[in-house]
Amino acid sequence: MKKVTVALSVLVVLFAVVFTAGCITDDSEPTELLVATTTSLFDTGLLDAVQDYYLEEYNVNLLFTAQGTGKAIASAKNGDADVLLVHSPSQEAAFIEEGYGVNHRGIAYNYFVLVGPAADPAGVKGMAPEAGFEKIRELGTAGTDGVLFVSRGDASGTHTAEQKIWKSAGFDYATEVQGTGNWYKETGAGMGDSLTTAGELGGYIFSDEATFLKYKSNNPDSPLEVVIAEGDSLLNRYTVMSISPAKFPETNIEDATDFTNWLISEEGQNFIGAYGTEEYGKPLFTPMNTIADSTKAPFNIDSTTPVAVPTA
Amino acid sequence: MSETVIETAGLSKTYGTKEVLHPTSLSVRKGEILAVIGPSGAGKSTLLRLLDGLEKPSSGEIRIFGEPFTRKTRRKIRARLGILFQKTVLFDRSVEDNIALGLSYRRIPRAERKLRAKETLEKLGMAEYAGRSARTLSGGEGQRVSFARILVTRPEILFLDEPTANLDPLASKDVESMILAENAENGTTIVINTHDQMQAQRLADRVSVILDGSVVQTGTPDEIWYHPVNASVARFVGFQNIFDASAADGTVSFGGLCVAAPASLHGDVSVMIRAEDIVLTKTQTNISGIIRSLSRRGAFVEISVETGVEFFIRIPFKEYDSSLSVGDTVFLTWNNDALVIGGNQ
Amino acid sequence: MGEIIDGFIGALQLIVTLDPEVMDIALRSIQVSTAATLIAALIAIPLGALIYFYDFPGKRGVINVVQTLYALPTVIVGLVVYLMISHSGPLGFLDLLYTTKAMTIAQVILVSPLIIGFTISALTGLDRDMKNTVLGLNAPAHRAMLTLVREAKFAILSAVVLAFGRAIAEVGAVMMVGGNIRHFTRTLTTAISLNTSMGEFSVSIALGIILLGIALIVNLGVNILQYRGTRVKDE
Repeated sequence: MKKVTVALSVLVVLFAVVFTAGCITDDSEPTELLVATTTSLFDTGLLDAVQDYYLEEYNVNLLFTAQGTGKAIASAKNGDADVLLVHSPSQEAAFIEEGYGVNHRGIAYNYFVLVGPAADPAGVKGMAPEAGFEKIRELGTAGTDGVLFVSRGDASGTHTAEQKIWKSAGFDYATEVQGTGNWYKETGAGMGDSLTTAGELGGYIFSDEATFLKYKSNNPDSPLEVVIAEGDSLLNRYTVMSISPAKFPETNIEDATDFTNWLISEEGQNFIGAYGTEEYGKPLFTPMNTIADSTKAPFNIDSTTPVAVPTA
Repeated sequence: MSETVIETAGLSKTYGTKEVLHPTSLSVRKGEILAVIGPSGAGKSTLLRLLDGLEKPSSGEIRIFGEPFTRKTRRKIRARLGILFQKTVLFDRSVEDNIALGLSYRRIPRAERKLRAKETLEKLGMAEYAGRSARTLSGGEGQRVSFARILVTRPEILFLDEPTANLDPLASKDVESMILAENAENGTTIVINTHDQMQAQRLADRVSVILDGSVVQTGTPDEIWYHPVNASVARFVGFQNIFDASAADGTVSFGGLCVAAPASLHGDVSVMIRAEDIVLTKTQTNISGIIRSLSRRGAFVEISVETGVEFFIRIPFKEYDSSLSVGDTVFLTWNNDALVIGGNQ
Repeated sequence: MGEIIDGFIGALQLIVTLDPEVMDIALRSIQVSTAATLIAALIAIPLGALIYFYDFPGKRGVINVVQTLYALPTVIVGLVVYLMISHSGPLGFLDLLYTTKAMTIAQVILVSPLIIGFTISALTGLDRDMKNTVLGLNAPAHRAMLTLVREAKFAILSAVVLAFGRAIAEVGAVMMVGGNIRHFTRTLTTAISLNTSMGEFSVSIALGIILLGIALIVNLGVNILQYRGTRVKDE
């Protein structure tokens, strides 16, 4: 008998843990809203803060799953999300065009930056984005020592924005950038991981500003610094939309609508605008309500009109 | 003659391409002890496992209690059978629970199981072992408990596969007593495999000899040890003088010798005689030869005599004439019934 | 270098102060993997016993397949489960995606072959005449299997404990079907992956230490079971 007791002890301990761990008590059961989002937004920690606040204030659990914009959109197309929080204007437009997305609103923006080693081996500091990209490509394909470009390579919003710059610099991305040598490395990973890789390799990388600030504060010894921060093509616009209940009737459209309205409300906008000031010395995102009229270029998105539950 | 409880017809078993048991027809009578003897690997274990339904026959059929023993009837019939193996099998629980295991499979209530296990242990003189872990038993005790585990289910037929082969002589004797007692008290039919011919003689009413996958001869111990049907059986049961011979016209001739034989006998046969059945004499007989060797084997002396063929003779040491020496001419004789004529395989 | 030391100190603080987020993640990991292991054991031990017990054509092949599945890549399990339970998948109506249930299912699939295979080898390791003895005592098939499984309990239990170790250390499948959602489906491994990508090395190291601690306990458990098993045989 003793033998059996000892033999089972490991499992018994685990059992006990299971049943004690199972109890997370709440006064009333919060509802759940599944939000597919991008790593560049998620990795900053903003969404964790939003999750805690929103549960406390509105008794809605925001379930964030962080993927590249490409995958986030793909899973939303499978009906595996209620809300999309992304930053890729072209992909968003297509998504809405196909009838998957509704109630599209702008929530915040910041800028993409080209980050590179402090030593700037390609000498692109302060150049326009297109000119800087072209120079890095030229030196990279020539095999210049120390000139590397690290790319997300994951169809994320950041990756899409990067491709757009290559295109406006006059290159065909698939044939003249990808696969043209060791200088161009695709990580296929999230923003944070890709920054770590670029830091290790001492390469240039196209990043959103917020994730880079977070990365830099966690890795003060990293050689990476912002080398190009100005240019029209660097605008990084974050938007929210609900998954159309016409496509997926099980979408939690009520909570999705409320959440969208909260994001564009003054309270939501202030929350976004305040995030990060304490830790990074400046906010990571600029709320959209700082723009007089965001429906004009370069933003091109409504960010003030409250949304309503779409009627069938 | 009493009723037949086991009957096989054309029963065989093939593993891969090797037929380990050739088609066998065998019958076992109610209440008898049948010993199956044969060298290791001859197919004894396979035969027993087939009879208990643990192996599937490759061909042929088995009838037990007059009923065909098939997949359908297996559990019904097996409820009346029991099997014990050479290797002691004990389960990691108490001695009492080991003994009661078969009863628990028969859905006998716990109280009755306990009672019957207790009775059985008392009978074995092992009452104080009931609560002990079975793993703490000695080899002999373990095998007796294994045996008791079967007896407590009151089998009508018992299959014993070399039950004492791993035991010391004393423990073997205990198990043999259990076998004889079970047969005498309950009339249980027993089929026992053994490679120990002495054990077969001690226990068996009848004996089957299995050689190289075939049951070659079945008979009383007397028939097996004194009237083997052929040279192979004779060799296995210890005949030392086996000669190729040919039979014709009422005589059998071998090595320049001639003996009378049934007139019906023709062709190649074997002539067989036990070394201890040959009488060595100085008085002239019609068989003479020269001593080739003399050697002491425990309580016996073994003498080899060349007569044209070589005879081995075994004489108790005390009856041995110490004046004999190698090169002496001697004469041989034997009782008529000591010489056996059989098949030449 | 400073990064590692700072990370380590931060990690110890998180553990010693029982940081609620870290504890939440650790408990969830243990909960999911324990449930998965127990469910897998309930399915796999009887299945292993059945495969051992009965002779059927292709048995050898089945065992080979089971053994090959020991090394089943976790991301493939994740992918298949994801495709099944995605809202567009055949089981989408069950609403399992991004839940701990989905993670449990993935881990059950992941570790079941291990338990099936080890149950078969544990039973095969018993004396052949033990099975014959049980059958000879006319046990019905299910009782016979139960008796034999009970005899092989130490070996089978160590397989179950090993399976728990594989389940809790797995990252690919739970990431895909659980979505690594904070407070809901974040586990030790997905949190380590996430925090490393965010540069939060202290949290990663703290979670890593806990994961290693669990692995150590699991290994200890296996050793105790195997020691018990051999000691019983020697007696």
